[in-house]
Amino acid sequence: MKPELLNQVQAATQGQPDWLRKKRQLAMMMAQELPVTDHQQTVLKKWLQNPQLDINDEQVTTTPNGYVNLPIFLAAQQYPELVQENLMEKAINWQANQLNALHLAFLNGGRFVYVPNNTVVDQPIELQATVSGCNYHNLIIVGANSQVTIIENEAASDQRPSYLGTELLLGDSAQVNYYQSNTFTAGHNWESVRAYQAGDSLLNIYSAFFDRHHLDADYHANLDGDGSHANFKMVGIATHDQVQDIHTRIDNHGLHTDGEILQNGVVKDQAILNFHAVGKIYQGAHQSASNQESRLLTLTAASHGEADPVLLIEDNDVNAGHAASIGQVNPDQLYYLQSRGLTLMEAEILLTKGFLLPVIEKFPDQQLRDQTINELLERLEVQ
Amino acid sequence: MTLVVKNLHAIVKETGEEILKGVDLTVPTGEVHAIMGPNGNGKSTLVSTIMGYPAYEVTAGTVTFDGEDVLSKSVTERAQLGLFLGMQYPAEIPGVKNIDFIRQAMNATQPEGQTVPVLEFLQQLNEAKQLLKMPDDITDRYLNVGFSGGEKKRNEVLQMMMLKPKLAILDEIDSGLDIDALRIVANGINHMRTPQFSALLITHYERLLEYVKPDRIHVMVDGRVVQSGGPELADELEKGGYAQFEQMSKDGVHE
Repeated sequence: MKPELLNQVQAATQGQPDWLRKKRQLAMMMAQELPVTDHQQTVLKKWLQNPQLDINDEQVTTTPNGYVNLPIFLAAQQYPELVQENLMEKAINWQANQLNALHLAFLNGGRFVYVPNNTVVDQPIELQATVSGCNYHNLIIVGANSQVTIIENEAASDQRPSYLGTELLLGDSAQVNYYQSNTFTAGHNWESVRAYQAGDSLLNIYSAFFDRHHLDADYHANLDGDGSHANFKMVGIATHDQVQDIHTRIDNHGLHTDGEILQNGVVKDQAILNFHAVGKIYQGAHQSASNQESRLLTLTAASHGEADPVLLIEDNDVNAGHAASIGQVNPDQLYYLQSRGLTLMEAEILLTKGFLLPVIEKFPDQQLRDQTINELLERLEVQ
Repeated sequence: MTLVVKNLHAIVKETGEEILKGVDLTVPTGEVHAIMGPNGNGKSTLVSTIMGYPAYEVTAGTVTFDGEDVLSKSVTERAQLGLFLGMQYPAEIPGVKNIDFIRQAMNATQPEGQTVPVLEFLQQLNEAKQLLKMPDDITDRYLNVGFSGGEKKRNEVLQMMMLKPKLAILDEIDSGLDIDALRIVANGINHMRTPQFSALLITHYERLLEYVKPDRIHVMVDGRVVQSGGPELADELEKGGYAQFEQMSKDGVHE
């Protein structure tokens, strides 16, 4: 690592709390010793060639009643303990790999959302930044017995690879609905959503992968507390020469925890869409459940993907299952639709919508279902 | 809007087996014709080829509709030309609501740039559903998914009534229907009859033709039309069966 990079990080962190400056510099220094994959390497290379350390312009709204929603750097000053203890420590660990370390070192912005204990937030919290700079990170802490819906629609605008990270920390019996549909500008991007869940907490994640660029996505829930429950529902589309690698993993540590993954994707042209889902039930997590369903529809002969759910079960007293399918579009369905006057493209759009709809219809909010379907149609119609 | 089929030969792409061996057929505007004949003699292949089903390949002959060459057109373009095929085995399409599909198909077959207003659409849909005695929720279900055999047939007729094609080809629309359902479906077809509408019914029972009186009947055996005549031909068939025509086919006798 070039020494001037460290100087740049030092300069960029000026004015930030001492602990954060040290942590980011340490991340910069240690990065090289951490593991890195090929996919991560392609992202990293571009960052290192031309690092961008400016701070993203963030809206500072007056903190609404009942909860906190602040730019992450401001929160580091105003809520130092919460941010210091949790930022890239419990869910997305900065020491897990080189990419995470540099994500912290080069951090450009993000939001800190804190819902204190026993708070029910009625209106959804919307995270809708236009993200300049490559590294954007949301830290979301939802206290015990609290309930909130969060909608993330970020637009990453940098030409270099963007890494959008979101950490969700759920206290005892917290309930969180988390919707996500982000867009990117760079050719290859990274998305990570990781959750740490205390006892009896419930996390529902609804994700749409409708962006047009290469994407590596990393979704993870750690069901630490007894009775915690994570539900991932995902839909994806890949077209042209796009490659989307969606890694999803739920770890059952606590007793009678439940992790459910449902993902449907459609691939067209020469694109690749991979659903790698892992459910792991650790020894001692009695009466836990882990289920995965990954389905892919390929519209063209040159498009392909993998759906390879994996169950890793260490305990005997569990309920686990998985299902996967990769199917080509049925030519009789296409013919039938075309015989009624629809063009091939219109027929493909209907079949794509039809394939993803069973997952989208499980989104609990009508408005978000409609929004997702609109995004889907827009994604398919604009070529 | 006359359909003219001349010396049509077609093979199964995958095996190369010739199914249509020189079909000649004319269906003038405003007329209802029926093609009868034993199973496995090319009736369904003929209508699928007219619609452009990709499993068949035309090796000789022509098909024109209103003077336009049909065979050079895509399936979509054939539908937009005013051809409609009510299929024997309509595809099931999960995730696509019947009503959304019918509306999109209607808009797709309107003249360029025109759409059907929603209220008008719903009104027409309700009228057609009532005429066909279809349950209200049938249009809210996914297209043909979990439909009974009879529901699928009615849904084909429903689409025909909504799309108002110039020529409707109905492939064994009567198979698997009980007598009440047959009357209802026939009623739907008769409802369409105008001097601008023509229909080609494929059937191997004359029962449907008691309810939908055809102007002409053609008998198809071994990939060819071997006999054509008025409605009385159906009675002959009922009495004598297809054996006489099978013999004709072997002897190479035409009309």
